[in-house]
Amino acid sequence: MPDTNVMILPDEAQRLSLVTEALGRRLRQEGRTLPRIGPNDDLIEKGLVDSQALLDVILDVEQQSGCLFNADSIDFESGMTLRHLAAAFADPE
Amino acid sequence: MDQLAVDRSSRLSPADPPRGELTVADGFAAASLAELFLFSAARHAQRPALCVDDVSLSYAELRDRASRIAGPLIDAGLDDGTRRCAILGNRGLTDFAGILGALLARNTYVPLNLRHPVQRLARIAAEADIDSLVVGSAGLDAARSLLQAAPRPLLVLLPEADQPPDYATELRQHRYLCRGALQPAEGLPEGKTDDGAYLLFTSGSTGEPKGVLVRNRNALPYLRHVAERYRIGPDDRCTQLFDLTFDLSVHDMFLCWGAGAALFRVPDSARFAPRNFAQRHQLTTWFSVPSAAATMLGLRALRPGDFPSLRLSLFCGEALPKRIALAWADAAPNSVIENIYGPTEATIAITGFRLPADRAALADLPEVLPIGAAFPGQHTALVDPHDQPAADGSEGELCLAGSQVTDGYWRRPDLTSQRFVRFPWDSAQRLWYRTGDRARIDPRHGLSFLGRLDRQAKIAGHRIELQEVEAVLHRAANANAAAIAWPLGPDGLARGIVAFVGQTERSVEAILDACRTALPPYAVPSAIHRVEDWPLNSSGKTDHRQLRQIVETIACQTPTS
Repeated sequence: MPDTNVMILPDEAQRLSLVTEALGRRLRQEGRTLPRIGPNDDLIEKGLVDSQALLDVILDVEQQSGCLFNADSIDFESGMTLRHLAAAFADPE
Repeated sequence: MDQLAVDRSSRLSPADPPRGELTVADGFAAASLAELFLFSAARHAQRPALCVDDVSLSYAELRDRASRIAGPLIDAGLDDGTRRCAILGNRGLTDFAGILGALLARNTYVPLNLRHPVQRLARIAAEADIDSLVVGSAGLDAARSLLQAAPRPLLVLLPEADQPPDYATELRQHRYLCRGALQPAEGLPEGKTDDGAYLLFTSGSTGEPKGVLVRNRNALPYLRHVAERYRIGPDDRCTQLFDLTFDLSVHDMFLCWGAGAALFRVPDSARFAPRNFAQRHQLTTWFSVPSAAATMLGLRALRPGDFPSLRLSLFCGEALPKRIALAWADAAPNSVIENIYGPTEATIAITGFRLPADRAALADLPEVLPIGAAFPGQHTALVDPHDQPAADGSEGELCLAGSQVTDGYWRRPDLTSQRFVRFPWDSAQRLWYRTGDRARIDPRHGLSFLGRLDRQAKIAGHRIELQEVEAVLHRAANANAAAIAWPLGPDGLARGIVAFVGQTERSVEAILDACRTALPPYAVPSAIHRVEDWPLNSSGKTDHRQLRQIVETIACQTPTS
């Protein structure tokens, strides 16, 4: 019998997909649709996240994936991108 | 331009050094914000004044940039102390230089935030009756709409452009001066304490933003007090987090520059987790809204010892929850922490509460930290619904008086008479500003903020008259009913605005799009709920309590998908 408590950790591409989907859900709450953006586009410059939206997206991804967000692993100054956010979700301990 | 020629014989040189041995306090004795800056620029010419991204400007370099804005204003005769210069941008080098340049030419500066809808900016520019406009390269597109809507010819200064924008040939009523034509001022007019320093527009309950003109004589008492209170000096390295349309940015700039310290604009992306930025620049002072710290805490980016270089941390703009203050105290163990309070009408902040250094005493504080006592020379009073002083220990409307209190609303005597009043019981017959804030005095901690008497909300420190948003929402939805609520997060801080609309033919997307063209981003609803059975109270008016219950019930749902 497989151990149902074992979680399959999402890889980088999956995390990117989770973050993108969470952002899409957050934008839909605001009556917006996720525009066509690349993983390296700055979400702040494009007006896609503010502080509350960022927290909501992170909470959403944590709930979906079981991964914990680790702010230390992001260099926020180099831009708030989907790729940066995805990379900051560490494996659950 | 001959008719506009000015007598410069008695003017100051922008680089005149102060005479003799002078202290920081001497600088703050200035008659104007411009003089305050020039004092430091002369004493600390080669020290860093402003750091934006990778560019650091010394006081001499910043003064030169500002002088190139002031020069054309003076040459055009716009330096008689009655003029207004709009700065279209948001925390860029040109915007800071533009503010200083306007002040050096005795202009009142009017910040216009590029993040706000152009339609709103155009209304504010017209309401402010601006004479000139400073625009960086980021604002050239937005400037076109402003210039199209301008009711009279403007002097347009383009410090980052080598040639006028294409639309200049179409909008020929305005005069455009580009980088090469901006010559430094040869002499500067002497600023007066009565000159306007800045004109800011806040949310208005009538649906239109209202202006508050803050004069040098209002701003300088504040700066003198905080310079003494916080002892900022040339070795300090201060944060700059506030948009220039937020009056707390005036504290950022002029407390720092008055002291000869260095101002570091924190990039928008770094404000969510600024530890690395603060450590790299060894920042010594922090000033933000509590929501900024709450966001950091939510991101797990506010941990014990994260900010060891800070010696002073200030919070203002909204209620400071104890939980946030305690987390900050752990993160910045070497820092004094203060919760300061004040509306724009009373110039930046007018009361303050210093957190006790003792951890046990900290834990004994109320869940929302007090706002403390009035700054020296300023006055507070609590009045009851009959405009009489509230009984000891009772709550009342917080009223403010003193040199920081402004004269009233810009060209709105009707609104001014409602809010700026004299009370028969005040033998000094001071002008009191009615804040609309409910407060109580605690003998141990001073004033405590209890909430609002009206429907004004604070979203991340931004003041929003909910009637203004509702007016926009009504137009946008064309519904039989529309209202908004502002759900609070676990810290008691507002999480944003939620809208309700009754029967309407319009889609949620269309309504939100219309809101975005009229409201600043922080005032745009984060969600819209359609309510078929509109709740009414016994008076037949919207039952806001029931609407709030709807928010609480479905807070975790996705309402518009």
